[in-house]
Amino acid sequence: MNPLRGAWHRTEAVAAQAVVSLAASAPLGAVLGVARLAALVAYLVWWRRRRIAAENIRLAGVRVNKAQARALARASFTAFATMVAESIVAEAEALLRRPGQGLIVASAHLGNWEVAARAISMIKPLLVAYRPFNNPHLNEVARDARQGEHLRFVSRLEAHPMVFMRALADGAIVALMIDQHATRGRIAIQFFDRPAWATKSVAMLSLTTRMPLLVAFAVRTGRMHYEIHASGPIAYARTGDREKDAAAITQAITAEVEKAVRRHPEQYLWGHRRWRR
Amino acid sequence: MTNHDTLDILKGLLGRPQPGVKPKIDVAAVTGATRIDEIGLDSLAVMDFVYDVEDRFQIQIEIMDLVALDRVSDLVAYVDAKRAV
Repeated sequence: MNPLRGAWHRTEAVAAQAVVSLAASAPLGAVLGVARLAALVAYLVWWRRRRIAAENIRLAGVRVNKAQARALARASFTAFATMVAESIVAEAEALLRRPGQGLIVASAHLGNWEVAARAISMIKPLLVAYRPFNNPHLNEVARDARQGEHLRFVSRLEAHPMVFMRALADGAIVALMIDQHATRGRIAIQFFDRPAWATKSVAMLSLTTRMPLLVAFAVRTGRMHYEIHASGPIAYARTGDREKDAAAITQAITAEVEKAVRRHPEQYLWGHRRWRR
Repeated sequence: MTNHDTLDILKGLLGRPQPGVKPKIDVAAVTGATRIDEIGLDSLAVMDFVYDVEDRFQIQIEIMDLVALDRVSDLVAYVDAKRAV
């Protein structure tokens, strides 16, 4: 390959990686705004593609008038840039769909978490850690009713010590609720600026397996209609202080939960005594 | 460092008190032949232990390797092999 061309290809790759990294950490609105601006610049500067697009539109007979064809070509540039931006931002969804990729999902009692579990288990096997009821018979009934073909519920108290790690190694999703008061294996966090206790299991699973950690909810948008919102993966570099690391990750997840609850407060299970000491 | 040293360090990590958790493990009874599943760790204690082992030996335990380890002696050999790299 021509050395100049090779250097250009490497520069393009570095620039693309930089854009992906920036977009992955920026708010969706900002990323889409930049995409629209980039589309406009590309439309104005990239005259050859602009001309091809307008000609193709006229050849297809979708628009006959030149000005209308140019307007549609410009809209097409914007749609393409938006598609690229959405693809970058939707890293969480990409992880969800990557075959063999284990994934940790932290969730909360917001919207319909049962529907979320069922929907996600259609994409890849899902193991849900749950806290059992005090009544073992009720527990059995509830567990059987909730399980599905690729959806398994495992009691946190009865789980085999390696069950979650093995599921992740097998490329499954392990989902855990993060928003209930924890009495053991817990970490102190702030939830709505008030001190609370949360399980540190999610953070420790992330720290030890290094699997991507997402925060996800199914928010109700209408009767039997939901939107699944996922954010992450949450990135964190270990410091060597286990409890400090677990606290930092748990707080980051809790902050995501709090943001979601603030957006949909009517869909949150407020009946839980979250701020017990 | 010998296999015995590694085993002793691992046992020391197993016996390390965990915040808010009552110790349930008889560390003295743990030998190379003990199955990892039967040490008496719950799922969270396993994760704490893995973190501590990685930190103490400055190694990274791959999850695929971890789930394949059966006995404590396998973990000792794994740690020593990782440290030798």
